[in-house]
Amino acid sequence: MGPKKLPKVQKDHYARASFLFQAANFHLMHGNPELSRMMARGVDLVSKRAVLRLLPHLKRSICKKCKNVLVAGLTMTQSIENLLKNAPHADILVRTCMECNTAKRFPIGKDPEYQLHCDKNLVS
Amino acid sequence: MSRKPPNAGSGSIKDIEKKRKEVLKPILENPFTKGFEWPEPNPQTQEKIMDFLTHLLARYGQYCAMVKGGSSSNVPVPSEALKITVGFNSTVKRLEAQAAPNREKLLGKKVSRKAKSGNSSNEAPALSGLSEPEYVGFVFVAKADITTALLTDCFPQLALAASQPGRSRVKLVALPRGAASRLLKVLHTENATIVSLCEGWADAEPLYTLLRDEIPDVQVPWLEQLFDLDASDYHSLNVAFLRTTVPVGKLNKQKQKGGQSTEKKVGNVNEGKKKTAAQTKVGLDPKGGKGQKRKAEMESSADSGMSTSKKAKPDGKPSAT
Repeated sequence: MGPKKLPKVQKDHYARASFLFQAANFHLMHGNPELSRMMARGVDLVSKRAVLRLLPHLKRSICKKCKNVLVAGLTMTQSIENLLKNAPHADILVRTCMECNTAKRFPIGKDPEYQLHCDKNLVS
Repeated sequence: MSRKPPNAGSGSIKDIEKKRKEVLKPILENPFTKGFEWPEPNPQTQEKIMDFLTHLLARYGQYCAMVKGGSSSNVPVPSEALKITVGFNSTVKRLEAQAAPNREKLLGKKVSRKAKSGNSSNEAPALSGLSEPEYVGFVFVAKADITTALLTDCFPQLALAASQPGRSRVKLVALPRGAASRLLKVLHTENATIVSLCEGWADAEPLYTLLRDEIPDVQVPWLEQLFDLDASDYHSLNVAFLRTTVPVGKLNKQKQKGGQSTEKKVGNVNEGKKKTAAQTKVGLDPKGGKGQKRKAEMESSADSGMSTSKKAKPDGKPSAT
């Protein structure tokens, strides 16, 4: 079998989600955090309504609770937490939204070699 | 029983699971993929930087080793101790504190105050003792030795967020492979993969000039608007495809099978519940069912006394509503 032909995709909703995300970022950078949150919420809603798949990197850059666009240093804080002593496998990366203090925890110590499925098998 | 050959397609669930078709599913790419790119110097410069760095950190490393040895009260604190951070948490915390003016500009004062109070409570005692905050100018990350991309991805953004408009941008330096073990030897500290240095350290000036000449500024186009409001960065749609597999063939059969089996199971469960003859009758006609069921249960509860009366209650609630 030769190289696979890429399937055709209805792009309307993807284009809308992509635009909204960039608009959310634009408004955040221009000092309108509330407008930014509204746009980011739009991304979430469109992707649910039209059953779109978003890249995890994109999805993780929006706060699950308040839909804030998360930018390291500006809208989120990060720290590595380890509740056990001398146990590197218990390292957890905690990303906290500064707006609503929602924390997302990534157990990075569990498998340091771990790669997302999308990082391994993306064809673009 | 005659055995079938494995390729016959007996229709067993195991067999169906084996057959999977490769498909490409559309997935929306992050329009801001550029934030994850690093300015990478050539290997020779990296080596030079590494030599400088190990030389500079030697004294601080000795201090670290002595503190670890237990004689913390007698050891004189070297003057550069406040200009160095080692490790992810302390470095990120200092950069976040340095990003406060930018944060204030974007989000208003309320949030920044909250963030500051959060920082001060978590900050190391060495940091809170600072009279005036030092400007972190250079961040060194042993990127090749950190396998978790999640840890290193955020640094370009963080470096840009911590850069202040009037001053030079925070330089991000990727260290060569094997840098982690070399830093470990020098600093005698575990997880010494991330190091940051503050500006205004006379001993480190040669290194700083080298870095300023050789290493380009961090580029995160979509954060550029922090400093220049007119900088627009719009990316057209980018739909990528994800290579996944889906099961192939005989799905309907499997579904039917699954449906039947679950029905059977449900039936069995119901039969098990219907202990008395009155209850089985109740199951047949839906209208009067609930009331009669309740009655039957009331009777049974009356028979067996207090212990079963509790059980009857939750069943009674939905019928009342």
